[in-house]
Amino acid sequence: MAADLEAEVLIVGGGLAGAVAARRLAEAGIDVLCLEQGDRPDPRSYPGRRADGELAGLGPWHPSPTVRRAPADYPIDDSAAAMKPMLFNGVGGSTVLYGAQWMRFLPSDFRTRTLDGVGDDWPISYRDLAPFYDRVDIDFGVSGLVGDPAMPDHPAYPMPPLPLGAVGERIAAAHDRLGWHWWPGSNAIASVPYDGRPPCLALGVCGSGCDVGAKSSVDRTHWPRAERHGARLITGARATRLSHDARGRANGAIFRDRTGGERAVRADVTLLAAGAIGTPRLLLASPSARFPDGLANGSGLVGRRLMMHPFSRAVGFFDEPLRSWQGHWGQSVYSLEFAETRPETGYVRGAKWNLGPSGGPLGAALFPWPGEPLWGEAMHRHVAAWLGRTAVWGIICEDLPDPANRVELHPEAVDAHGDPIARLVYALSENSRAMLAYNLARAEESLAAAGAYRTLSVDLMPQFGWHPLGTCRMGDDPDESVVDGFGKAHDVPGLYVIDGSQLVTGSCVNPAATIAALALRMAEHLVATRRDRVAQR
Amino acid sequence: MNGSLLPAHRRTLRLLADVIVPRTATMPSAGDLGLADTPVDQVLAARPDLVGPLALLLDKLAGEAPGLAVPRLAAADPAGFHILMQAIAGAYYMHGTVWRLLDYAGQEASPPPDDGGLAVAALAVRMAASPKRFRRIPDEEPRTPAQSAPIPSSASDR
Repeated sequence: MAADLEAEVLIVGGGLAGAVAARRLAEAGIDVLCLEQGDRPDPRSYPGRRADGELAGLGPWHPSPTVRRAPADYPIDDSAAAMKPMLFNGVGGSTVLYGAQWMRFLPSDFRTRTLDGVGDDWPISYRDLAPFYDRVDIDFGVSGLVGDPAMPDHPAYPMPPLPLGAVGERIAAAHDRLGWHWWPGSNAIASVPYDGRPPCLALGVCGSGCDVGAKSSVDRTHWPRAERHGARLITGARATRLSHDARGRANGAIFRDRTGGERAVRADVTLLAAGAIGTPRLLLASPSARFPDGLANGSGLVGRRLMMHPFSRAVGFFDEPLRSWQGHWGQSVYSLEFAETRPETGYVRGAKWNLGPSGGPLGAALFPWPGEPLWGEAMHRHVAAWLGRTAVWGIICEDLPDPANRVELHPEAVDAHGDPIARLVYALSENSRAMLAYNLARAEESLAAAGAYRTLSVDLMPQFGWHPLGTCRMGDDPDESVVDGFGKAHDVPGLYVIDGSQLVTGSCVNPAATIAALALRMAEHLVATRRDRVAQR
Repeated sequence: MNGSLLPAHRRTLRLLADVIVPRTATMPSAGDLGLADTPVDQVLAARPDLVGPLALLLDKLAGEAPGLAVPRLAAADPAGFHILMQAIAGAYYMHGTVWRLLDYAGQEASPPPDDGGLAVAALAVRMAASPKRFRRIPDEEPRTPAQSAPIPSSASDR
C-alpha cells in the first residue's frame, strides 16, 4: 500500500506514553505523527458533577471498554480473564479516567528474581529511572510530600500534598498508633495553581474525567505542547497492522481512518504506545513472510506475561458524618506497610493500600455487601451506613508474571472491519489470592483502629483491572524478552514498545509514573541517537 | 425501542420497584416518588443503552410475583439484576427528595482550605523519622539525597 503520510517518528496511541514521547521528541525538533483511534475528550461532557454522574459512570463513562462500548473502543474478549481491563481510548488515553495516583516503583521491583526468586530482574534499575521520575513529576505536576521512609530519597514534588480530609487524618493517627506505615498521597492533581491548572475542588469525580482541570491528563499536559512544537495528532485513526521493509526494518503502519478506509504511514521509527492489550494485539496482527508469528515475536513472548494488579476494597463504617463522598479521587493517604516481601505472610512480594473518597449514594447501594441482599430494607440500611461515613482502602496486589496469562488474537471473533479482536486469558495465582486475603484482613484492622464500628471487604473486585501490564517485556536476552532496556525491539530495527507492555514486573504501586518515566527515557535515547540513526539511512 | 418504556413495562417496573425500594420510617418507597414515571425516564435519558435491555427484562418478569422475582433475578441473572438496579436505584438516588433526606447535595466544589497545611504534620514528621522501610538492592548504592522540602505546616511554608 502506498503511503500518503510520512514522519520521522510514528507513534501509535495518544495516551500516557505516546504523549510523553511526542512532547519530548517534538521539543527536540523531530517530526512526529501520532495515530489515535479515539477523539479528543471534551471536558464539558464529563458527567461527574451532574445528578446522573454516578449512573453515567456505570455506562457511557464506565472505565471498562467492554461495558462502555464507545465507538473508539476496540473489542476485547475478556470472558476468560479473572480481572477485566479498564482503559480509555482517546487522546489522553487512560489518564482521562485514572485517579492520578502517582507512585514510583520501589527499588526491589526491579530485582524480584534476585531478592525473592520470583519474576525476573529488569535490565535497568531504579537508579536508571530515578532522573526521569524527577522530570515527569514536574511535567505532570505532582502534589505530595517528600520524606516517605518507604521510598528512596528524591527531590520535592512541585506542589504540597492535597488535604487528607477527616478520614485520612483518622487513618494517619491510627497507623501512627499501630506503628504501620502511612504517608500523604502523591497525586498528579494540582493542590495549588500550577502551570495553568487550577487546584483540585475535591469533587471526587476524577474517574469520569476532571472538568476542573486540576487532574493531570496528557490531553492537557502534553499534547498541547507537543502540537505547538509541530507534532501531528490524527484522531479516529485505528492502526491495524505494522509494516516493514525488505530488510526487516519497521517502516510504519496501516490504519483505518474515520471512513473505514485504509491508509498508510511511512516512518523511520515506530513507537508502540497502544497499551498492554493494544500493543501486543497489533504486533500479533502484523505477521509477514519474514515474521510469521507476528512482529518482534522471535521470543514467543508478545502478549505473554499479562499482569493486571488484583484489586479489592476494605470499608470502614463510622458513627459520625465525615462527608466522605468529597475529596479528590486520587489517594489522600497510602500505606506501603505490606508492600515488600514479609516472610510471616506466606506469600512473596506485596500490596499497596490507597485511601480514597467513598462515592455517592448509588455506589453505596450497589456495593456488593457480602451475604446481604442489595434490595429492600437492606438497601436503605447500606446507604445510610455508607454515605459520607465510610473510609475505603483500595488494595492493589502485585501479581507475578506468568506466561500463561496473555493477550492473544481471538481465533474466530473479528471486529467490524474483519480484523481479529484481542482475547485475554488471565487467572489469579495462589500467591495473589493469599496476598489479597492477608491485606484485606490487615486493612480491616487499620480501619477498626481508626474508629470504625464495622468493617467489611470483598475477596476480589474483578472488574477493577486498572493496570494491564507486561505483555512485551524488556530484557537483555532476545530469547527471553521482546524489547531491550530502552524498549527497542530485539528482532525488528526501528520499532520500539514504549507503554506498560514493556514492564518486566508490575510492582504493587500504580504504574503511571513508571510508564511516563520509561517513555521519557526512551525519548531522550531517541534524541541522543538521532544523528547515528540518520547517518545509517 | 425508541428511548421510552411502554405502559406494560411501567406496570411491571412499578411492582418491582416497590420491592427494591420499600418505604421505611425515614425513607419513601419507590411508589411514593412515582419512580416508574418521570424519574425512570430521567435515568433512561442519561442511559439510553439501558432502554432495550430493561424492556426485554421487564417483558420476562411480567406476571411474576415481584417479591419472588427480585431475589430470583439476583441469584439467576446477575447481569439482568444489575440492569434493573441501575434503573430503579439509579432513579431513586438521583431524586431530589432522597438527596434531601440523606443530607446529600451531590458532589460539591470544595476549594482547598486557606491554611493549606498538613493537619497531621507532627505524625508525618514522626513517620519520616522512622527507619527506611524499602529493601536495599545489594549491588546498588543509594542515590545521593536530593534536595528535600520541609513538611509544610501552613501555606507560608510553601
